[in-house]
Amino acid sequence: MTIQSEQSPNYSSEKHEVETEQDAVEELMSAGKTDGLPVVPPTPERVRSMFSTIHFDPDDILGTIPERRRRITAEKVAINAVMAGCEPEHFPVVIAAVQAILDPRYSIHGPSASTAGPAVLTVVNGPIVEELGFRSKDHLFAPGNRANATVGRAINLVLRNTAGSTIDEFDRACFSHPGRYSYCIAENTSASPWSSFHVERGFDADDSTVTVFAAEAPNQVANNSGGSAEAVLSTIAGRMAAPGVMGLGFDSEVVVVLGQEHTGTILEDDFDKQDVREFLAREAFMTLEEAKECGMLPNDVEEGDDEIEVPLVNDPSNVYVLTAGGEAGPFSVVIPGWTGRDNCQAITVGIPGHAKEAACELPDYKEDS
Amino acid sequence: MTLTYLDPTSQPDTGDANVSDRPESLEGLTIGLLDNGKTKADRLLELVAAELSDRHSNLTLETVGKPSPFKPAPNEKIESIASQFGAVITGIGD
Repeated sequence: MTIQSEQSPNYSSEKHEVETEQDAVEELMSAGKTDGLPVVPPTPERVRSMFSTIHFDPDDILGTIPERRRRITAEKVAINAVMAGCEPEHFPVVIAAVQAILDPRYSIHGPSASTAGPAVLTVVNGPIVEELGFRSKDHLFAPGNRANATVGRAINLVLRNTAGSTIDEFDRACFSHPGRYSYCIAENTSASPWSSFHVERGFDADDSTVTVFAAEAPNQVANNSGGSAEAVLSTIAGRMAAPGVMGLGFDSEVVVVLGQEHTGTILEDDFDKQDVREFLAREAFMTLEEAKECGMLPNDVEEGDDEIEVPLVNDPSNVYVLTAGGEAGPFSVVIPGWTGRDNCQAITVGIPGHAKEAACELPDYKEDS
Repeated sequence: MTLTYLDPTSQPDTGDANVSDRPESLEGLTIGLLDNGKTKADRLLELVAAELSDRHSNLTLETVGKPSPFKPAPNEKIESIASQFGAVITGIGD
């Protein structure tokens, strides 16, 4: 791999000739190559500028989707990043996220084809959050911030345009959700004394990383009791194991974004992050009786069903606790995953040029409080 | 004055993959019914098996499964299916 020279490389992508920028936008939109919104036309010059921030060649293969016989090249990712409105500085973040979803443990074919329609939630950690201005506090999931908006959008455009994730090909989502426009957040590491998420995942604090997670929409959880860590976490656990949650009983994963007010309440009771994970893993369950009574299981309630627990996660390490969101508001967010860990796992990778290692072994949280 | 832009899409790389010839007749064949593991796929394939049995008297039908509906079958499984059956029918449930 080499840094691109000033001379335009010989891209393998088909070239289209049009009269104006607007013609290019209209042509891309009418061909179904956008998310339904206008895009920045990916001229060769703009695509070349993406490679100024990364040691990749356009024909480098970032990964494959064997079920679809697809190879995803850096060139195609750059084209889609331009279209999404990324600046060149954002490109390594997009590259890392695409590498992560192409990890066989993430197994992108399943979640991007499933009728359940999860989106790729991308969580950015490390110094790059400040450097590029990723939003981690107020309006966490809302539009309005270029880094979050364009990186998340680029990942979705890559799936649409290079992976066959369209309604005409592999995507059978029944509803899906707005995260398939853009779904990129950062952790606010100033909200607590806890280790940041990527450090828990085996990276150094001065590394920058992305984590990808096959995610349902954010479920906001209100708890204004002002009571205790247990009160806040009990409410969150109830939402984690609500009727209709797909992962119940399937050894699932879940992201819990603790708002600043809730984090403050939890810290006042001297809970550390492992305490939070253990509490939520223990309390996020339905009894077999409850699962039957709410119609999630077809059988009649039998004696003893009230003592059998159907858990959301099999291990506290699969509750991914982040701190983020606005300063004011008694809210946290639960983001259910897609089915179970056998089918899809969250993946964290180092951002090229911003981390010492591309990837780490997944940690054993049990040894890490 | 024209503007050039690069196409954002890519197509499948089919390499040297090709589709097997269809059997000329099902008579006497051993047919695999591949249950992909999705809910109710087994019921769908039961109905297909019943229909095939009604139409053809000289068939052997055998159901096989794969470890996960969400991931490709392991190579050994694919090779075993290819060598074992004259034709394979798969079904997705939900």
